[in-house]
Amino acid sequence: MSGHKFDLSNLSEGISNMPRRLTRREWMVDHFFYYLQLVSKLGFIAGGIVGYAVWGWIGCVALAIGCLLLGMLIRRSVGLRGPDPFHGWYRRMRERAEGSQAGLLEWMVERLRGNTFTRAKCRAITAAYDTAMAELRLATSREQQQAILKRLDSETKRVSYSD
Amino acid sequence: MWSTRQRIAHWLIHAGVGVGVLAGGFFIFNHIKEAADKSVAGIAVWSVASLAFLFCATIGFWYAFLGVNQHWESTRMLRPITTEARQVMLALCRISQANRTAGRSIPLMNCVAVIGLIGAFLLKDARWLGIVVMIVDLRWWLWVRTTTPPFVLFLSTSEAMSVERHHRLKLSISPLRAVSLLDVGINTDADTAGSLNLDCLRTEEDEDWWKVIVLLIELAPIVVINADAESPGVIREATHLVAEDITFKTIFLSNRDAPLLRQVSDAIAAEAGHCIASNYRLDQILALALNRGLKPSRERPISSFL
Repeated sequence: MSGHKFDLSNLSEGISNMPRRLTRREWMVDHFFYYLQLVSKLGFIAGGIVGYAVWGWIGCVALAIGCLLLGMLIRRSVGLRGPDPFHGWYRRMRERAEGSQAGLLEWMVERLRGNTFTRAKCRAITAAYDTAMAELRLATSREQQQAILKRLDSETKRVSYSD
Repeated sequence: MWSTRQRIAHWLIHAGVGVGVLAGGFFIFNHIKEAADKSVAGIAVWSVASLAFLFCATIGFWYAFLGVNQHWESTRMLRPITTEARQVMLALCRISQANRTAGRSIPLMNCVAVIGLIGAFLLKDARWLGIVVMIVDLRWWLWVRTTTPPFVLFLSTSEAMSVERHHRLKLSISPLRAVSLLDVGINTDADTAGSLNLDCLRTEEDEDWWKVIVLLIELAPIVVINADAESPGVIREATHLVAEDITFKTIFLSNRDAPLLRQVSDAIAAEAGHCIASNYRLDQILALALNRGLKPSRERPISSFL
């Protein structure tokens, strides 16, 4: 295990069906987005602690509830819909295709990433989703279902990362 | 299959955690009367906080022991484990399905550690540091678990039986790593699939598959290939092992007459030097290698171990 030089430069990024590599900036913003999701879910605990330290039990309950509501706002603002992230994301794309404005955090994340979801992109993604869901209902085997989902993933990423 | 050294480490881990829990429980029992205020609610809160600390610290120490145990045993068997080898394993983890578990848990752990720190500083209560201890230990364990090169690389087709075989290999050489690129999602029960999460380095992108295979063959001291499988992927892997003259560290696992070798070439199949082993013989070879700290080399091929 010594003396070898391993070439890792030709490996992909490990994200399936990507039309191109992520830029450093996109990679960092994706991490920020993930942390936002975590903060929206766990922030109420930190809020409860801070509330207890400053105002005692009443502060604990009040700030925990406040942070819980703030978390829900963050999730809404960032564009998360429903309990299922997969269908929730496409639900949001449908809303955007129908003319809904980007939420504040959603807009910020897209700006930071340098990749905006225009209405045309959202329409194309929604159309691909609808086609895939119709095909999925007719699919009988696991392989067929996987192939349909892979096609949907490829098409979604192709549209998302196009200019 | 465990060496005496491993058995001792195993019992020490259990004894250490047991003593820790007993000592913590004794401490809580002794100090419960000195809780901040003597009301029932005060004592209840104090007890819950202390038990939470004990729980987090126990989990933390458990994983720290597991990490240390894997680190020591792997260093003994694979020495030297270079920084470059660890970087390769980390890169392979990032591009494989193992990252679904490892990569996503790190931000979660960071957030939980921050909550522990906020609690410790704002409430001036050191018990909150139990959470931080747990997270630091979990991070250490995860680092060892994902960056340690494998002792065994298992090559086969993605069938339920192969996943089961990989699982048995993993258990038998634990805490050393046995990795594969099998698809654990296929016809596998959730427990088995869950326990192989960090050891199935199946790539997210198909184009990475061959590059990862070549890297892992280079890194692993022992390669076990299912010689009863005859899929194009396994034939390509076997052809590579033969062409690159890596058969000195390859065990052709077969309960028949290794049809895979005939698929590579009849001349290769006719050669006598290959290590063709049944499941039982494979276990014997691995046990011997572990007990004596042996690694195959060109001078001492794995076929000469038994």
